[in-house]
Amino acid sequence: MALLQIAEPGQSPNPHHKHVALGIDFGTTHSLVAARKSGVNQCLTGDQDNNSLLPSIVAYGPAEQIIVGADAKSYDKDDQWVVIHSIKRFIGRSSQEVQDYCATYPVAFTWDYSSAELPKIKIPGGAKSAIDIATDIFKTLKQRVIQHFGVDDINALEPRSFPSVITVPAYFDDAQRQATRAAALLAGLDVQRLINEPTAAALAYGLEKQSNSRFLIYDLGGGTFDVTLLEQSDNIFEVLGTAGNTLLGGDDIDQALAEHLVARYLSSNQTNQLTKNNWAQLQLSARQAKESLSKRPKTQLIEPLLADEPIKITQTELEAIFATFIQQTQQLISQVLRDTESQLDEISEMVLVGGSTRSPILQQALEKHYPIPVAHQLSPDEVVALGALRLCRKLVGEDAQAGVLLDVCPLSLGLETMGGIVEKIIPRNTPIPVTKTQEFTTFKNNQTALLLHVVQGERETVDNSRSLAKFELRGIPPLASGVPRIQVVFTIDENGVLSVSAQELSTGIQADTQIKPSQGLSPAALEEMLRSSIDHAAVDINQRQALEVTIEAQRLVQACEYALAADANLLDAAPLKTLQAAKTYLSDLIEQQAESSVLQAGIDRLSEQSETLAGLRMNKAIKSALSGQSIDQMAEKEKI
Amino acid sequence: MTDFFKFFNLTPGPLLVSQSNCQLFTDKAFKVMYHQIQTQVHPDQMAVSQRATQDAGVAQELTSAQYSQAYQCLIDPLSRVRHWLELTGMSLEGQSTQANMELFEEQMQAQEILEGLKSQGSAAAGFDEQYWQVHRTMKDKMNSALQWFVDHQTAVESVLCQSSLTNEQVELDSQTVLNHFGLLAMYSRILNQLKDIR
Repeated sequence: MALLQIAEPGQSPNPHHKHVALGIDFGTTHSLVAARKSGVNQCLTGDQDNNSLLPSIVAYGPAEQIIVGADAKSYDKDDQWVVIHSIKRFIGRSSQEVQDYCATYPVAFTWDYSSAELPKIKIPGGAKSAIDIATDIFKTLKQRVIQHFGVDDINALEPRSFPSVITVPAYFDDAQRQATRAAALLAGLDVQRLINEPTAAALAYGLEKQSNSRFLIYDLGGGTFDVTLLEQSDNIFEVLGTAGNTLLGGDDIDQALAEHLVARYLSSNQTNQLTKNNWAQLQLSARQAKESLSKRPKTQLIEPLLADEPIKITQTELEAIFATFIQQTQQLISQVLRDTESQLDEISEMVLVGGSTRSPILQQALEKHYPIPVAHQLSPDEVVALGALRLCRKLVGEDAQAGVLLDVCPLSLGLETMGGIVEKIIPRNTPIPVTKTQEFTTFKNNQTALLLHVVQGERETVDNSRSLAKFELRGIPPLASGVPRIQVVFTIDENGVLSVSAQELSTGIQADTQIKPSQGLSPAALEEMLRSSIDHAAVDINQRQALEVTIEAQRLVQACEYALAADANLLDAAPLKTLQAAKTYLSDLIEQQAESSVLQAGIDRLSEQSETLAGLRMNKAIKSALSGQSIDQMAEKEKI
Repeated sequence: MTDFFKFFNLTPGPLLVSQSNCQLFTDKAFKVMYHQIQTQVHPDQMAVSQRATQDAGVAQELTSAQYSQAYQCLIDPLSRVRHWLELTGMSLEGQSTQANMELFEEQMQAQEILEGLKSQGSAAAGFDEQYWQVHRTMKDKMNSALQWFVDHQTAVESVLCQSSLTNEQVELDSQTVLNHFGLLAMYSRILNQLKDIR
């Protein structure tokens, strides 16, 4: 510690400060931690292999051993151990999403979807959630920092703290961000901020550049792809727009290559017999082949599952597989350009980020399509962690030179409205921090409560969006539908954390929610909070349909009562009786909470019975060209 | 109602014009000004200069988020014109433009083009060229709709402010303003729908 202070005179505003600012890149295949050491921002290496990349692999042994990193790989074939690769793909995902994913991409471990808990992976003697496994990776990174900076003096007044900036793919949704943050907090890191990986890369490059320019950040990692258009002027980084796919990365190329080889060398009978472990093995072999094809035009693959003889694979074969992936990334680039109304010639440089961009096949394809110079100065593996470190040092007050970051929210945020339609409140690519206000109203007479359902995503219906939170506004004064004015305020702070509040304007009653796991929560509380946010995603569709049918039934009964109160005298005694019977029948069904099919039949019956009355009322009221309206539409009309 | 133009010392109006010297800001120049302000007020900047600010006893009057909100409002022509009209005293809430055959046809036509693009999907060959062509056309139309407000700025303001006019006259003229606003809103909406095509 003493030596360190001499090595860095004036580097820290307070030499007795017990903190080490960290930038952490938690990646699908590799994770890194960067810190300032000997006056230089650098990625810290592990003590054994002198490599800054820590493979994001965790092995759990029969005697509660936990091994993280390159060594974990050697247990891949050991039945006693469970080895987990690419855990980032599962962080913040619901049981349903994990199941869907594993149906397409086989994994070499077993998930436990029981109960309402987060899905867990079975390990010897227990089970761990994706957050727990990520925590083990974060702990290993923290251990690395401690090795480099020394262990604390036990007598020190305060323990050393680790203010950290953690990077996430730009396209991570709120649940995934929260899960990542939770994992880092559980590892004892003091999380200052989550930032998007491409933005971090730009920050790292900002060190050398001072000109006003636009950058396209192309970030293809192991499991995710992001593209971000960013503008730099006068020490300000402004993210203009971002797009991506959280399920597109180098791993997918490995998988596609494995499938290609299986299709070529195995009969369909043999293919059906492949186990999950076999697939995982094939994927590893495919990755090795891919990596050596990056350097040589041809390679040989010895894969006993496929053939006894070595298999020859050429670059041309790999190029064909790459092509579909590159095409997908190009579509996302076009989307960002459209979103930001930018042309290619306005972009001064393309920055490649992520290990998968090392591939010459990819680089050549990009060069062919885009006439933009490519930045090479920093290692594509390290650039993200270095950028995160710059921001972290700025936030703790060590690096005043670092630019200010004006980031955007990557996905639209909105509220569910009648019929499961999403009303977007904050559209995607809106700069943060931001506050937006919108007014809503009730759809039913005398409605006194409103359930607000906050969703994230680009789709128009709730079913296809990610549910973030639900909360209730109670105590709305009983008024005719459409009269109460309910103001809903969405706020995203500079951390990208969303809070939503609702207020009824005439009475001032309020309700709010903050979608945020804050610091200092116990692990159990963190998990509970995350679980509830993820569980909302899995709202049963049947349940909601039932709810909608009930609402429709209630509206119809209400409308019918209204019409009868006004114009019952228009009907003869017999049809009036039938109509009243149908109405009573339906309201009884609502009371009994009947099944939706039964309710629907009741609705149909009442609608049919009410047609005569509707017709008569229409004749009476206007005698104009309003034919064909059912009674509830009439009631609506009269209210206005 | 908060006057966002004031945040940047601009004169309320359909364009971005400096209050002090009537200089017109392009979108780009306005962005540079916004960035310069953000370097002063952004919360991340505070972490460093906190002590200095405290010593000087300067209270932050407007926050980064407020500037961001004002900037977002003013950089977009439609929301800028809406903000200006509302500041001038026009209520746009619940108002609608008069039925107008020409406008209706225009909208149907645009909708057809949008549907055509949508049915192709953004992965289709040649999509980008078509997209940008439609985008340019619609942007030009929106700009000419904006130009009407620039040409009639004084007239619009006097219509909305003067109480000496008879009610009938005001009605008549504010409906014209409303119709032109409807036109601007329509093109803005089409441009947004265009962006949502995947």
